[in-house]
Amino acid sequence: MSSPRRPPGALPRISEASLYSHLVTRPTGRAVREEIERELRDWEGPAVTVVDLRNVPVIDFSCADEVVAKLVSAGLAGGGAPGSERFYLFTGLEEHHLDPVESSLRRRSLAAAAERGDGTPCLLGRVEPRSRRLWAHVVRAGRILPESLVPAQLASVEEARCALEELHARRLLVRLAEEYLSLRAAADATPDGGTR
Amino acid sequence: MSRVIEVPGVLDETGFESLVRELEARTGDGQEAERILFDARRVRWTSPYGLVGLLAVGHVARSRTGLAPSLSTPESSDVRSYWERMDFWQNAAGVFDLPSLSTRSHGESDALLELTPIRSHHDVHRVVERVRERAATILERRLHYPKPAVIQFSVMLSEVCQNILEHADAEGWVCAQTYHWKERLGRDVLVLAVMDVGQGFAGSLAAEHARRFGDRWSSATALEAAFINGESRFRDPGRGQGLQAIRRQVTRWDGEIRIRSGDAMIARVPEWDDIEPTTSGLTPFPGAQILIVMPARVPAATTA
Repeated sequence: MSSPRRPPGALPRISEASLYSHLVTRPTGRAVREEIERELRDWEGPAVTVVDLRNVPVIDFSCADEVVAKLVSAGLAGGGAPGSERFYLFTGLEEHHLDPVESSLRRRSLAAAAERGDGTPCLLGRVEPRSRRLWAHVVRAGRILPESLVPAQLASVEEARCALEELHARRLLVRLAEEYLSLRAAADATPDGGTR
Repeated sequence: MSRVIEVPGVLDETGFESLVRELEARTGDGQEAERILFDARRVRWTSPYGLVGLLAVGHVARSRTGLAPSLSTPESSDVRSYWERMDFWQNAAGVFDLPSLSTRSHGESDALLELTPIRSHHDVHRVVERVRERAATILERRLHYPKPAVIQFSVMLSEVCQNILEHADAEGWVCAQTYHWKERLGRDVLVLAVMDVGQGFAGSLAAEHARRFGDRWSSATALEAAFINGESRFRDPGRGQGLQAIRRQVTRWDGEIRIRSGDAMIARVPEWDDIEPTTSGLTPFPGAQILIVMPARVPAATTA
């Protein structure tokens, strides 16, 4: 289960992007995405960006594609080099955000870690049920070592590591050395191993 | 010399088809370019689709003849008043050769959205912001839709207007109005009409998809590719979801959506209507013409 020890790896840089107003049309979405990416342009280490949609009254499908899906996609592609991974946690999601965000992720076979307006974690987009269950388990625990999943969740440490690594590769979990953290746990973590 | 096209007494989607046929007959191949006079004196009733359609037909008449068409004013004071309230004359001034008196402005309108040109993404933002308060009043109080419908309508409006910018490569217009469909449905409806006079679905999708269809490529197959399969002219998989999202939303509301492009039309047909889901062999007309009808909710039809 969750490990109390401090992860030996470096904590990712944490940044927040609070979005406002009507997120409609592709050019608007593109501008918002580029602004978020610009913040991280010169940062070479791993980064978790919390994108807050709480004050977004409307997001259309085009804008959701430009902001959410393309950020996640770029996080997998350009920002995917070991040690400089880009993670995005979308927070403040209300009912009316879900269809455009979910749909835009599914169109690109992507997934994103998110939180509803009341803080409830949710996984959006295309994810296998097994991976979805594992993700939820890590989110509940906050941080986890592969061996803690054996034998209750998975048969072997190697299998557990593979399953967790798959979620990390999709930027749904942060890896710090041997440990895997939910994006929320990583965003709230302090350098001494505690939480903010 | 002018050629006269009589504007149908009932200027709705059927009236629009009649206008398109008349325009084709008078400006088709081999005909000498002459000014067209649209005689609207006997118009008794106009729907949002008919109103935008008249503008689109006027635009095409102008581009085919190279001469700004004339438009006579309806005799009916109700129709004249409606056209004024919907900002028709303001928009018509750039299309028709009008007497200057016709472009006067009016007070506050009862329309959800007056006739509005869509030329840039800024226009889409303006439209979405403009309808917000009115949509809340109309959708919740008059059509009895749940609160989230106001946002979903804004999203739909945004996507349908962006369709013009993304695919038409030409200017377009949008307008929306609520009224009572006594004979057809016995309920209030919200009607949204969006049109452009650009390259149409077949033109927009041709470079990416026509080869795959070979001889079968047409306006009808292009509409099917976009409306049913979510295809786009872009290879980017994130494109093309707007129309599908609109179709899903209209279905949830038990509404109707028709898209006419080129010589074909495709529709999501609710149980309360009996039009064909696909039609081809219509008189060719540039661009795309979209009609969305959202009926007032009744307890039996209440869904999520």
